[in-house]
Amino acid sequence: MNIMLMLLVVPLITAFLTMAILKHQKTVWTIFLAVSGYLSYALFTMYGKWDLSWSIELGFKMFGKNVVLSLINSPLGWFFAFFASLTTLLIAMFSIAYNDEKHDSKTAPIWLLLIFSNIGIFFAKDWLMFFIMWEAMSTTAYFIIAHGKEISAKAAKFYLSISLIGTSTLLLGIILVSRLSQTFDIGVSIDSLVKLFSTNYSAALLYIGLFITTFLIKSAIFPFYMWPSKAYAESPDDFTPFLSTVMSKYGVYGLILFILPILAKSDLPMFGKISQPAYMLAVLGAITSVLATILAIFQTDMKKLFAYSSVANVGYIVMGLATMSVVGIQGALFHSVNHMIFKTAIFLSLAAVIYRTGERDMHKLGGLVYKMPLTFLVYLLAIISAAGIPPLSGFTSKWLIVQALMAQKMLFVVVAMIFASTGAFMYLLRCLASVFLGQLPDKYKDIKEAPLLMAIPMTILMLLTLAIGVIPGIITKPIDAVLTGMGYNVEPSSWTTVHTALAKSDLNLTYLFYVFMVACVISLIMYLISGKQEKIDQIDNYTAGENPLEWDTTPDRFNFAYGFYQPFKQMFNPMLDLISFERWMSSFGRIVERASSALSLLYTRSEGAILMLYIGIAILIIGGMM
Amino acid sequence: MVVINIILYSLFAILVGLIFMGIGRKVSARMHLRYGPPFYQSILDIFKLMSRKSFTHNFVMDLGMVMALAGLLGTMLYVPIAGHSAFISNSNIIVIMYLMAIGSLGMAMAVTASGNPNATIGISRALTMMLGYEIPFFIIVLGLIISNNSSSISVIAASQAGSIWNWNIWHMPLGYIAMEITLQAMMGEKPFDAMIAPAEVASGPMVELSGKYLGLGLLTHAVSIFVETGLMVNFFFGGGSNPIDFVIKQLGIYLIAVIFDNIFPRYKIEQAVKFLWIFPTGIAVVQLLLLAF
Amino acid sequence: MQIINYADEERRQEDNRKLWDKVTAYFRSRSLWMLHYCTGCGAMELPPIMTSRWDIERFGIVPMATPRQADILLLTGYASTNTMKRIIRTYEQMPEPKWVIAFGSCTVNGGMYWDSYNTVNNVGEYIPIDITIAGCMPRPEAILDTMVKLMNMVKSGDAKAFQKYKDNYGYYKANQDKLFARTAPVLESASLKYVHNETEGSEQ
Repeated sequence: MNIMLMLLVVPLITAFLTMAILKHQKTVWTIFLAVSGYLSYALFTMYGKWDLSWSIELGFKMFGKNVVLSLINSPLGWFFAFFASLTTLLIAMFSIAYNDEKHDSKTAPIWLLLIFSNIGIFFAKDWLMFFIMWEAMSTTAYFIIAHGKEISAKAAKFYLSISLIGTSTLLLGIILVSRLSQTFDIGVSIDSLVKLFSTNYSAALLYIGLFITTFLIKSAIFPFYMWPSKAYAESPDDFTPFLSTVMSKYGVYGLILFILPILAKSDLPMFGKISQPAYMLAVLGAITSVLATILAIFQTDMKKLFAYSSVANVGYIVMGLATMSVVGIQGALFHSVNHMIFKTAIFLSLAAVIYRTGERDMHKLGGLVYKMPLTFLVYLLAIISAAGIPPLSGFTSKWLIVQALMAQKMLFVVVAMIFASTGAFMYLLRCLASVFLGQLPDKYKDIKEAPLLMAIPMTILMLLTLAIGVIPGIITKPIDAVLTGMGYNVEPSSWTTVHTALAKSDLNLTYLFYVFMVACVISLIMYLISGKQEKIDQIDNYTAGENPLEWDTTPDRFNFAYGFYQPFKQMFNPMLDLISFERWMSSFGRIVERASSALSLLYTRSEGAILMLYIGIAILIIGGMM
Repeated sequence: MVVINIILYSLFAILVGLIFMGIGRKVSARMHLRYGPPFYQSILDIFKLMSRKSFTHNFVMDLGMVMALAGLLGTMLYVPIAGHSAFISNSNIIVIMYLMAIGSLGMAMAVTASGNPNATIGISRALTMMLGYEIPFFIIVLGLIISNNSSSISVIAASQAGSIWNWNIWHMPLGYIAMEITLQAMMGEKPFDAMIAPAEVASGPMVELSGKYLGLGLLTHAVSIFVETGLMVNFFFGGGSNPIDFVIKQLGIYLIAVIFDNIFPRYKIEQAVKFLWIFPTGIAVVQLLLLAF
Repeated sequence: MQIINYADEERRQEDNRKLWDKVTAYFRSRSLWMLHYCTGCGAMELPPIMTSRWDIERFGIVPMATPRQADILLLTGYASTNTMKRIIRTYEQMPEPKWVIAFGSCTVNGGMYWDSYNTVNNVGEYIPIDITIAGCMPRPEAILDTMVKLMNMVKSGDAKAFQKYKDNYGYYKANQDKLFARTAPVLESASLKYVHNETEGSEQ
């Protein structure tokens, strides 16, 4: 059987199979793990075999030909699909431990359907397949986010309604583009749109605008940045990493697959070194990351915080893509993988915290490092990576994106990028300080470290982000294949060094790691040769001579967590009011309410009825005349 | 060989930073019409702190302080000292910017681990301040990168070689003014020292640090002074022809910061960020536009 | 006329500390950071010694914000029974080696408050004092002299009151307990307790 088909059939069949045995949750999740393991293995063997494909002819005709549904193993699709399935494998291992009697979300079968559509999207060769899978993905994700809870259902509805806008623009775009190119093939439609750009610029812009809207909605780029904070926060804790890391990449994948080749090949008006539409995309990415960073800084719910963080990270990726240069796209692809790894690590460690404490508000936690040191370590390394600090992986990709932006002289976009990544430091540390450091509240005195099955995937992720940070070749080598597949001329990248377009600016990351390690050793020696230390109790603090326990306070009262950035927030309050989505929605709601009450006058008041009568008569007369 | 080089360079930076701190104390004493401590006072302080007993709340404090010093030492190794560095590298500015963050992260982690609310308030202020000064700093750096088409400090320093009139301070005076203000915030000197305000938050991040933890913190501060003034020398003062020249220029820059430190009161944190985002950023943007177009 | 301090001379002869201890003692003596616990009027005398006229920073003595960072605990004035509790906690929070200077007559014998119902007459009964400065109030010169004396004591390894506290903890603890028994509220309703409200936790 064709391996491409197998990739689709295995999750589909097991999805229905597991629905039958839904009662035995442990078995179901083990099957889920096995399927994701199989997918990862199969995808691993598929690397380099770029001629693999599968297609089926359907019995009806369009544009004079039989309609074909086809899959192809492209380097780009493989890249995303492989790392997505690797992430899924690690999350699956976590899910077995997570879904016990208390936390069971019973989402495994639907999740398998989601993985099925996931594979379909990444390997689709024609628009029909792409659209079917896209629609399947949007719908199945709705059911997982809802997972039978009332509050989650509300968030899921929000997600679905936004997502439906995306799918309808996608459908409209597909109809228009395939009418133009007389086929459903994606490659051909790129060429025909390039042609359209030379003849009818505004129409072509409208066409790609429809697609871009879809992709921006899926990746939560401005102006659609608000749905993740609701959907991510309310989805099952073990599904959130998948939602945040894999599903936010569909839009990125779409942009690379369809929009970038068009913008690269067509002759467009320029703004500085790059074309205007690409610059527009970069500005959207910049606005997204700045806005999401500011919003993330002020969150008190840790899942919401990292939802905004995900949005900001996808903003970086879009900025990298919009440079249209090899370094930028390399950085964007690199950051996609990095985001999958470190954000999964973050969300899994937070899920472990929620699993043990049942608390999502950061200011109600604290001092968990005393009880969950491994989870803390995973979270720490993940945030170092997320903040883009060497020698961990997040640095490499951010560095590449910044270098690409500077080489293309996108001055204010790169300043936005730096703002966002420094701001990232603020919110990442806020969660670290509030959840893991500080004073341990009394009620968490006897919680335990995360179970072994949770600890294993978290540790793997931790080591992975370190390994990629030290040896970037692990990711840049496959990226070479992707870039070659996209038609760029790239030199084979080295295992240790990353290159940029700027003069004399290459960076050897393995060397950087050595240097940092030697510096660590020097620092450690300084630490070891100096005097002895004594371990003291967490509450034994400088409190101006007072003994807090005498006043019957509890240790957690000493955690400064709720208004962590209060002065900073006061600075931003006017702006936050301005951009508050809730306010927009409520004002929109008020307008609708007024309009509808005005409309209701038409049939409740007699004058309205007479007006309606006249309008009806007028329509009749006009109709008769025509 | 490289390892020995790294150790020697680290010790050099620590020593220079500590002596700078001592000279700074002497200078501010003279500004107060006092006699002041000897110039090697900081070395005495470090030795005393390192040799006494200290308190730790948990392993994060140890890990964090070690990480903080290691991060700053790593950063220092990427800054070329008058064309010399411990190993061959391009001394990329972006690497330096992000490596310095390890120091801040380590310090932040160590002091919040102590669980003292004063320390956490100090850290929240320090991070807010960081967002405040990174923006103007990066805009100035961006101007330098654009005009040299390279993000390597060695290239930027080499481009100013020759006469004193090649220095960037003459080519981009606005950038220099913005950088001088930003540097004040980067070094945590007044008027941007809201994070360590001893009268408000009991010296903020340092509140729970005792003995060697405070010692490591002071060493980190010493190295950060070396790095920040070193960056300034490389950016605007031609990078120095030999290490002695380099260190003298650094000292000059540090003393300017010390003098400003002595004559200004303290901004509240939101005032400081607003100030940094309006004046230095505005000046830097003007400079950037002048360079780019 | 030269005054020979025989006690010092004697000590110098039998100074058999290790070289390392001597070196650390020298560094410690040159970098004394003080925490001034400003309990009374004596604190008024500290600004002059820190500012331009007497400038104590030239000996490496600087004020510090918290007990964790400090070497010297400076008690400037009388200690009431309730204050004593704070002083002891502060003292115990300081890392070793640590020294205490009792400043002014109040800390030595109660001074002008000697017959008050709630002041401690001799602080030395509750925490170990290294050196005292008599006077009401002592002049800055006296303070400087004391500081120099303390520096010499630290250098010669003579200032060992913290060791005394550790060795005789039972004695000090008994004294402290006896003192704090007096601070217990007479009426049950007067006991000051902070009532922690659970719902308040989520408020700003």
